Amino acid sequence: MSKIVGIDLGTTFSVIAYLNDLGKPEIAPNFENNQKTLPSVVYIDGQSKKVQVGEKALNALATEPEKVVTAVKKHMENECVWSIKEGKFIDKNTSDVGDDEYTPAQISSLILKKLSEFNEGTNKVVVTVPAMFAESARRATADAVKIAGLELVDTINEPTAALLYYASIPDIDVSGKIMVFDLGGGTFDVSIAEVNNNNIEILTSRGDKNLGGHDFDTFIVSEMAKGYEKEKGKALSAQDQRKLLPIAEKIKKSLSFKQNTTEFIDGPDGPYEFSITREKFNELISLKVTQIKMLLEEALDSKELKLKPEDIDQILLVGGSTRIPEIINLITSVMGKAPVKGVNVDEAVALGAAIHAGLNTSSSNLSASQKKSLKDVKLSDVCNHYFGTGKLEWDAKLSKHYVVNDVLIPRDTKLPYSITKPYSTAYDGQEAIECQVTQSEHEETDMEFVNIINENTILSLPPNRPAGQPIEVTFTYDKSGRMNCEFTDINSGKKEIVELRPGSTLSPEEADLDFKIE
Amino acid sequence: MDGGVLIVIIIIGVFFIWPILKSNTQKKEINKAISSVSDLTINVKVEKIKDIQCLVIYAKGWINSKRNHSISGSITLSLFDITADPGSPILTSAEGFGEISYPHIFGLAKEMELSPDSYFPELSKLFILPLDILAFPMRGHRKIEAKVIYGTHELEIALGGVKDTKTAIGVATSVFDFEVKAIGYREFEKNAIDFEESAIQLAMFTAAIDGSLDQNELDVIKSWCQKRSFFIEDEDESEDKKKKLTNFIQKTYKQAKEQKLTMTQIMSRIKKDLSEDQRYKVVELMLDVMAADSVLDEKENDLIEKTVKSLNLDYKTFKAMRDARLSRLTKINVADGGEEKLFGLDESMSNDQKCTELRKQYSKWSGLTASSNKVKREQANKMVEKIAKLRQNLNC
Repeated sequence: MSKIVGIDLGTTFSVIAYLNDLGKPEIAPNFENNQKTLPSVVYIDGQSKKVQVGEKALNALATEPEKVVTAVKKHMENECVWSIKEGKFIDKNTSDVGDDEYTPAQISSLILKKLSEFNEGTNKVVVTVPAMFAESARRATADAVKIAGLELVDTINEPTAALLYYASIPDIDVSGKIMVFDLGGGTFDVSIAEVNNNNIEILTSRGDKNLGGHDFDTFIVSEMAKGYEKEKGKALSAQDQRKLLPIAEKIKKSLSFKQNTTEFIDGPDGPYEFSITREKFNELISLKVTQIKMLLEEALDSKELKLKPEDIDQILLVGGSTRIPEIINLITSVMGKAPVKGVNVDEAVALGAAIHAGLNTSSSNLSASQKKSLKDVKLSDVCNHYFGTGKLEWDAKLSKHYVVNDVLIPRDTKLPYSITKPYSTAYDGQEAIECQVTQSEHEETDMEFVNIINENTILSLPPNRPAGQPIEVTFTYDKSGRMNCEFTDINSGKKEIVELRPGSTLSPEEADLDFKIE
Repeated sequence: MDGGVLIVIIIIGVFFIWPILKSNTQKKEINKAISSVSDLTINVKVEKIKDIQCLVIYAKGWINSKRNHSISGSITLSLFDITADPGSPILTSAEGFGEISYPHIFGLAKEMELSPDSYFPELSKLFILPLDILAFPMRGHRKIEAKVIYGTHELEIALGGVKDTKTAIGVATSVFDFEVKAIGYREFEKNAIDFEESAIQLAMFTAAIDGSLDQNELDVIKSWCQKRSFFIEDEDESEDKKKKLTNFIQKTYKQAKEQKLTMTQIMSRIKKDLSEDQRYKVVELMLDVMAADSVLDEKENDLIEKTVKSLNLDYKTFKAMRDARLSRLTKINVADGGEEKLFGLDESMSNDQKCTELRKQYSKWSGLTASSNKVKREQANKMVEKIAKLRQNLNC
């Protein structure tokens, strides 16, 4: 068995997989119920510190919704905490986390810890992340791995992992230009790749971190709440509505097979019979479907590719929400062809992560069959965001200086990549430079529309020098998505290095939290 | 630090000198060829170099050392506005473009070797300088004199002339016509009042257009005025400025409440007296007033859009300015149809163009849904939803 395992840390459920002795990726099932997926749901009792993860936590949603954390992945990039007192995520106002508060990384670590129990001896992991996950969310994922007491070997983008798996299936001929359409519980990614035998070259990825099946569930819950209030004359509280999430998910799933469905729901004024048609459901999700369509068009029309739908040879599906007929209809109408069906869309990402784990395992730890199955597999990915820095520029129209975003690494740049750009100091006697690193999804000059992912590093400069001193900025992005940003004052040789995504930045004390999982 | 780092485009004066002659035979041949060459003359042209409007000083003719041997010399350029008598110097705020003794007066100097028989062939570019580093005394049509002086390496220009005449060897001048668009430095004082009063009036008009003038909006105007007096070094002058602006704010506030402010008057003053950058700054203040209560009101937006149109300002630049503020709002109150304007759609666009533009806007705003700033994040989510709704309405 491979020492390194692959984990799909999903919004609604998570999966752990490994490379078996024959070199085939395989899911490690939950030994408690033999299910291949673990609901990404965590129950935390503030008083007893009792923690439950998975099915039991999901069941507790009906009775104690305020103690149950769902869809934590949607909060990974936000500066927020789960408040035991309030039973919801709240904005984090200080850098300290209170005794009754848990960061998204801490909660995710509980899911990872539980998953690791499914595969004995798990200590090194490859974890998948949405292609469009921001820097902060990737860092939080690395933190979660560390808190769970595991070692993060690498992260891999979810559509890329899925493609690795699809390309490894002997019965499916995956070649040419492939689109991976990944609509999961919380995020949507669409990637286009060139596949030639075992050579996989990702060309572009687009996506939305806030678009997935969980959103569809909440639309159904809102519809239920509206119906309840209309019939009973009483509104459902926020916690009442959270209790309804599993029912909403059930309704969503059944509408993939039926034209209408009915469920009884509980509320403060007794039960209510809720009926919904597929047509109504399609109407509820129509704005999100429009967003998906825009992202599909964006991926095809990306700067370097400029593809037409007919240029795509195959469309592969990933994620449970791709079972929704309206989504299949959308793909078919935009792309002019139906996607490939017949593969378990819930497991492809984890299975691909297991293959990636195998690729990251030293060959001395691989069996002959494993080595054979991984032979000749080549994978290259692209940068999914624009990365840049702030520079001072003169605006002739407004007749003033202002700071603009200057892109160094454009989106869709093939990795690894390195670039050096010359700049110079702006003022006489300038004694410092702020080593800003920015990230954006759009080629943007306006600093209001970029996320500053590093701004506290200062490069000190020698005093009493005139303006115009040469400064060099080098951004290096490796295959694993680790970025090194060097800011160098040429004349003095002084240098500041900003390392991004080196893994968790947590101190051992922060990572050493005592969570007892029951 | 105010900003990160800055790329400085350094445009260096380029000059070509005929090579120093080596052999006697060559000398004879060349002497014959250059016997018709006259003394140094210059010619000034405005040219676009790498997208930057520049003044290019072309030179032609002898640049003789008037000695039997080569010397290490210097060549200088100064500019003077001679439209009226007496003339006025051209100023600069750019580092390295000023005279040594008077750095705010434009003057360039380059070192070069002068030999007894060196000259500039036709179309030699002697100096190239970006126009935006120059400050002219007045707006409008001006006559500018360019003066190139060459001499020994001790040559230094001061106030447009030579500091020590013994160091000069030769001079060439050229007078050229030039249209100055920016406000001249001699017009600053009167223009500053025109600018401040027009900005306050339009800002107050924006604040009052939704029927209520609130303290947040007034605070934005007050803070803008405060910044205007902040950079006046003399304390008394600064206080005086504050008083004047406060009085004007009060007066305008009263007029706005009584609905006595007229757009026509304000606009005609702006069109007559304000430069393009000042017009953008007025619009910037209007946008800040609009964003003061974190709500975009349709009437406010319409007023600002009309102002931009009427002042012939670039819509794309305006949209970027507005987008930056939209990201910090909490509410946008525009009726159906009004939202199209927010995303830069107009009636001249085809349906396909509108759909493509909305897709670009989606990409811009969806990136902000991951912002660490909660207000921005929530506003971005609303904007993404609005874009999707518009795409649905347009059947994209």
